[in-house]
Amino acid sequence: MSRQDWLNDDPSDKHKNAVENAILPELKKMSEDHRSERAWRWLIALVPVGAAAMAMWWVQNNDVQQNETVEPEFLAMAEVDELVSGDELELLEDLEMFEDLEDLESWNS
Amino acid sequence: MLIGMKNVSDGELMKAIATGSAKAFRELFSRYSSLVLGYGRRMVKDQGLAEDVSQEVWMRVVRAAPTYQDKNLFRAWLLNIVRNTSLNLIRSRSHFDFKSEFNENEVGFSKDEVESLFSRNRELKKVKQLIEELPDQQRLALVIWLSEDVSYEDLAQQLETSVSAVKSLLFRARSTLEQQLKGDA
Repeated sequence: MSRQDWLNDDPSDKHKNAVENAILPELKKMSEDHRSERAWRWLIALVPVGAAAMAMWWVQNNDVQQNETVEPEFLAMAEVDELVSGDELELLEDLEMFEDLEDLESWNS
Repeated sequence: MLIGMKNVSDGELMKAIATGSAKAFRELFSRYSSLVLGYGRRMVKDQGLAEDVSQEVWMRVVRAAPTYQDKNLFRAWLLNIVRNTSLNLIRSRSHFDFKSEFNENEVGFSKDEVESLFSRNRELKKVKQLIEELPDQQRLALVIWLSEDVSYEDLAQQLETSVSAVKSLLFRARSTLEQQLKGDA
């Protein structure tokens, strides 16, 4: 007699069937729960993907609007640049004027 | 999925059962149904009640599958359920007083001593019968102690009694079995 043989009893076919009949509805319910849980997990996993897609759509859509409205701003900025360039030009002309020391001395007197 | 299930671990089968796999359940049942029924039978001493215990145990196993931790040793976990289910059934049907009189001189013994006592007797049916003939308290203490990896302290806790009482019950159970088996030899 091997160790712990005294503990085992083989179940009858009737008992095997009784257990299986009791367990199968429980397993069916667990299978349905598992499928439902898996579907929810998929949905939850898709939320960031959907959010990313919406964000990309929004950015693209917003870019079109920006191209329409921002273009005049670029033009305005170009005008400012031109003004700044004009001031710089005047300053350079002034500096050239002081480069001649004699002119500066005459200026001081 | 788990196609050839013979080599699949108990923990993997439990994971598959958690998804509702009837095939995984059948494999687990085929591995442990004899142990569950036999342990239940040694505990409750009645075939019909043992089958009730077995059915209840398997239902508990299936329901626990989604939260089962694979780090547990499945066999020990399963025997724990059989023991608790059997004790609950016994307690609901009768009143056991494990705090019966005990003698401080009656001390425990090693599990191997009893196992070797059984192994010397080749008639398995006779051993099972002798265990069933033990007084209820002695039988329960002996069967739990031999079946599970429990200490005297654990056993005393399970039976809601003292360590001394448990040792005393085990001593008496062993003495009775030894006498019976010697008488039959």
